[in-house]
Amino acid sequence: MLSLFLNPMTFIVGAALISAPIIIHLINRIRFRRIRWAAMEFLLKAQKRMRRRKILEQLLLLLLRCLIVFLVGILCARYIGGCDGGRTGTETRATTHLVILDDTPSMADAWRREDGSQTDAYAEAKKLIYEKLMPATGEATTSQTFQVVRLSELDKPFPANFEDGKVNATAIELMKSHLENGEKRPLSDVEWRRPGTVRKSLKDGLDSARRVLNGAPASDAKVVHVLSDLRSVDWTEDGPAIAEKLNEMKDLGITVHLIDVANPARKPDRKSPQFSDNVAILEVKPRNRVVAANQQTDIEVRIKNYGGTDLKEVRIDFYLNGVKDLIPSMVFPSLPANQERTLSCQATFTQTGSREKPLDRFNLISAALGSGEPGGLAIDNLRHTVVEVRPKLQVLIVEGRPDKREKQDGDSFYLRKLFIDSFGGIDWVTTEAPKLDGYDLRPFTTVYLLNVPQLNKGAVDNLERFVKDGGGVGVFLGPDVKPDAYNDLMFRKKEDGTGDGFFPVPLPKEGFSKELTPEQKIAREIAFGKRVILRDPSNRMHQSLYAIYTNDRGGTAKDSEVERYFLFTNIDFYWPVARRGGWRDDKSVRELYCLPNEKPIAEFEDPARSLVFEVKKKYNEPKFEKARKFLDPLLRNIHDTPAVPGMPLSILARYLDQLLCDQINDGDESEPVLRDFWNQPELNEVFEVKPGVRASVRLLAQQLRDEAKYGDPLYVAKQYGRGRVAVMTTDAGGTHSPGSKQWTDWPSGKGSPGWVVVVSEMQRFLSGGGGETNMSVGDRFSAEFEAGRYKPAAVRHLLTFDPTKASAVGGTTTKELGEQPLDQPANAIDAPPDAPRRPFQLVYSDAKIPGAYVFSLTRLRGDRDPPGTPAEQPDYALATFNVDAAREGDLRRANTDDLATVTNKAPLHNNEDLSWIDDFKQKPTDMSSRRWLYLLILLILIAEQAWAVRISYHTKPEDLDALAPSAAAAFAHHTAVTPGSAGDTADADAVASAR
Amino acid sequence: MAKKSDSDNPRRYLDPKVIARISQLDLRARQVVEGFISGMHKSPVYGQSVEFVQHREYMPGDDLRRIDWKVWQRSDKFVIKQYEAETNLRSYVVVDASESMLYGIDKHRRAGTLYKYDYVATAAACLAYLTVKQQDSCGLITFDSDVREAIPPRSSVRHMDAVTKALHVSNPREKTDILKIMRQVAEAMPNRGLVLIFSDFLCDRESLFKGLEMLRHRRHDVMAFHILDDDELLFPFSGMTKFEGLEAQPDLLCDPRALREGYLEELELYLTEVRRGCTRIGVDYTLLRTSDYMDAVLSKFLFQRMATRANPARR
Repeated sequence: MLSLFLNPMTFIVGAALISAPIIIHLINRIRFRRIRWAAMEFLLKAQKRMRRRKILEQLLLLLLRCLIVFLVGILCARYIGGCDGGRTGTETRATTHLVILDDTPSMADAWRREDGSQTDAYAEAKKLIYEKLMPATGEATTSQTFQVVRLSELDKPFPANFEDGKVNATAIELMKSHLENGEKRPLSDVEWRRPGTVRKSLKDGLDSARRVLNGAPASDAKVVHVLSDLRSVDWTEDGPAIAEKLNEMKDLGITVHLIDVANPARKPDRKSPQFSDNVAILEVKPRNRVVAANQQTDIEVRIKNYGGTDLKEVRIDFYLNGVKDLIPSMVFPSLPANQERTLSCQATFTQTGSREKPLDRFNLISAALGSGEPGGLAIDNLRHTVVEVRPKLQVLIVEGRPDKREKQDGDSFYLRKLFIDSFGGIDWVTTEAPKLDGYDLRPFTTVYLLNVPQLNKGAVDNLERFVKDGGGVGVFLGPDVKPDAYNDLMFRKKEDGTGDGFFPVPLPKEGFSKELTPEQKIAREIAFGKRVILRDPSNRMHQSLYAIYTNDRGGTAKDSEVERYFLFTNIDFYWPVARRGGWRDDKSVRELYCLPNEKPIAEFEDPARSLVFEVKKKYNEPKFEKARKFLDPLLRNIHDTPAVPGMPLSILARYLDQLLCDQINDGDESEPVLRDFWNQPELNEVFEVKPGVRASVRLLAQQLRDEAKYGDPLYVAKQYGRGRVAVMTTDAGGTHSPGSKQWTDWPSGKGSPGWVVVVSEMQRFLSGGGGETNMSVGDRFSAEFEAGRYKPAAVRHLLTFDPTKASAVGGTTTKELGEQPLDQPANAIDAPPDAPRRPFQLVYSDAKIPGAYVFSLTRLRGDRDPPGTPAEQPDYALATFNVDAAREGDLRRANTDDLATVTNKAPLHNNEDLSWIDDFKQKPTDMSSRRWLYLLILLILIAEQAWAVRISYHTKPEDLDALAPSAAAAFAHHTAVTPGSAGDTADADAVASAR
Repeated sequence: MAKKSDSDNPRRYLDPKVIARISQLDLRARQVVEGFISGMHKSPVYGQSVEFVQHREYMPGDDLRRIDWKVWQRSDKFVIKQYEAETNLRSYVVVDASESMLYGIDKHRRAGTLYKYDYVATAAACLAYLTVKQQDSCGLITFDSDVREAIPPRSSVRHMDAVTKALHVSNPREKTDILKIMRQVAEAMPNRGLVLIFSDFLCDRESLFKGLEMLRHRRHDVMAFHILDDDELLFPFSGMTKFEGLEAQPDLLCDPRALREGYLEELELYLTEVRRGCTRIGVDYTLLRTSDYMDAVLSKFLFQRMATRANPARR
């Protein structure tokens, strides 16, 4: 305010206004009339008597009048010169507004208004723009510019140009028309009318807002309005990044308003606002992305109840290529609040496509929430996945001994019998290791390496590319394997001990294991223990073993029948991979099965006795009396068994397993008692076992059990790129010289049923790779293709289906989305001239509609292709995009206090209390904008008038009687006035009034 | 022959309309004065007349002709018969012709109304004429700081010419010296009579009251007509005004609205003081204003005089 009066013009005007009454007063003193007056005596006396009083009265009157002028001056200064406002935040400059309109799927959260009409958060946000925000800015006295950008399409603000965003009535109408009617866009684009399907972080929105606002004049004030539902999940994941962006914008002088448009309105007294219940289908995943026709595969569905109410009988319907009931519906018996559940069902596919309709090979599976959902989002109730169905699955077999390919003692004999005779639908293709370099592996789902001594660099690269693109590689080792070649090319140990190649474990340079002595074999037989041991109970859920340990309903089997056959399995030779090593730190590597420990039991005598001693120290308390009944015999066995010469170590391991009771599930009555015993705090209390080593009794027992029970790894799996690798450290049943010995009788002996099951699941596991990890619309999909072998362009097709739409009657919608060129990156400048070209890259991140996106490419014939290969062959890349239900389906709203902390107390508003919008009208919010100033001026005016009258500036009829009754009496004997008489004068009027 | 202007007409104070209304009323002296004309006025001296009043015991030195012999015959006592005598009224009209009486002359002339001196001169002429018409004698004295015109009482009609001429030529000039004038009036009237004083009394009150007391001491019947302009009573001015004092008083520049209240209060004090002073001395006081009708003022005066005569005990 002070700065306004420092402005020369406003200062002059203000000074003139204030001095006006003083000047008038002085002029009046200069201009006076003269009267020759007789009764000067009274006048002089009056003047003497009233001098001080009159001066005070006049000063008071002058003060009142100056005050009035001053207040009026304030009002004038406000309207003429603007006002910086008495309240912080009122902007007086020209302002550029940018609205970030959150159109993520969660904005479709619908409710009913009080009048019963349907609405959602997105619709309310749009209305807020053209009914409140824009009209408010339109009332501002300075130039206002308004642009809106959607979170899903941050590079396309509306209006597109800053200059077109001037706010006026036409602009508001245009904005309303654009938001409500929208422009019918191609399917690949998003309409303004409805929320989109793409999840985007507000962090990206703020980045984009800053870029857009860079185009505004530097002198403008800049305001960003974020119209969002402010879901908790958004701020939990991206909160720190958003806070950083907000701080950057604050430093740049950009004001950010957060406006929560979700229902119910966010209230100050409720920090965690209510939210709608919602059920979302989080994932629909086929076990195999490529299957043979009529081959059964599993479809796994994961759903979550984000609401606060337990649900029962939640049904999921399936649509195969748009046709219902080809896959039976799935029912989740119960779905507790805030819990997720997973169920599987089996499906068989027959549609393999044809030359005319090659895309028909891609079978679209749509899972839809069949049971009704009160409220919540509809868009997360549908999810798609695709299974490619081929007439037969091609499996490539690379043998180390191709000369024995057809013979029983060959490496592939039992595998071939299994795949061709038992499976069906497998196209068995063989080749040799040297030919693997440059071999076209695309048609194959799986490649098996059987006792392959080594691969050259080109073959390894080819295999690695194959695996990265989703292929599966199964490896059965054997005596011919050269560990150095495997370690150097296929494992490629890194500094941290993990492997960089696709091979999961390093092989020991010392060679494969030594043959057991006859005594050891006898002891193994006597022990009658499992010779293949599940390394960890959680491995039951691994995809390669899932089916073995799961019943028909998708539940976990209490015990697997398959493991019974592990009792009869003899594995005499294998590659003893180091039990402890850096490879175990690799999260992508999992040891699934291992061999029993064959160490002499005598090594465990002292540790066993020590354990027994420690346990007995604890269990004397009365509360353990019930456990002692079961503990006593077990502890006695553990104490005594190691002392028996020739006793297999597995016996001790079994006792320890029974003691701990954390993996077995025999239904024995001791189980709950012992589990309760080990959960007691005394058993989990850490103490110093020996200098530098601290552990609890329970941990000691577990360590001893693990050391006694688990031997060298047998079956190891690795996730590599989008593909999978599985390694058996023994061979596939071949017979090897010298001595014509079999490494294992697992494929051929009494335990072969177990091998069949394990290897079958291995094949399914390996062929199930390539399934993209639950991609969401808007995610980036990329794939590489061999340079020179493909035409550098791909044609996009979208396969989608929505049972809620009218078009659903016709089945799957297949829509061509046009051609897309492939990126052709050039080789590095310093690359040798004969270096292979870098692969073409297919990158796609513009998916906006949920569904399967098929990229059709053309593969060219290569030099190494077998004769008869066509010059051009079709090839496909596939990606399925769905709504990010895991995040968007979670409708919990961010806590108000948390928001304030994260955003550094950025202004947070709701959709009901819109008084804050008045700030954009740029009406000064000082005292003059309220009625109190006007009331004050009125009161002062009244006081001034009253005072002026009081000090005789207005003649009062009655004052003569009061002040001079004698003079008034002179008028009492006045006769009626006759026209034209001497009394008919102006003074006579005064006399008459006095009478 | 060119018509003489109204201000130059020496008889302008004898407005026929005013005089016609006054002539129907009896002008009565409040007290019996000595005079030569028997008639309407009762003499304060008992003498030869036809109307018996009372008997009084004979005192040595009384005229033997007034002894009532019938009473001596019945009671053997000498008593004297007393009769009420009728005499001529000798009156003086004393008019203030000082400068203060000139207030508002221009304004009133423009408006065709009477300023203070104009008003009192008219009233004085009317009363003189009435007196003369009733065969009473009337004299005139005009004054400021000194007596400016003095016309002895006469009862002839032609005497009026001298009176009106004296009023006409006596333009107000200087400051009032009321005590000096009253002394001269008292000396000029050896016998009891009626003194009619027309003035604004804007002078020293002590001198005024001394002068009046002097007249009353010589047993004159005094009537004070206090004339003030309407402006002086109401003080209706506004806007910055410079008041230039008449009769050698200082000037004052002021906003008259600001002083009005004080002025009226001072005026009230002054009027109260004058009225009470006159009452105390036995002077019949009347406050006049320049817009008062002349007939109304004279009628009021005559009625008041008659009422006083009807109730002599009031004196």
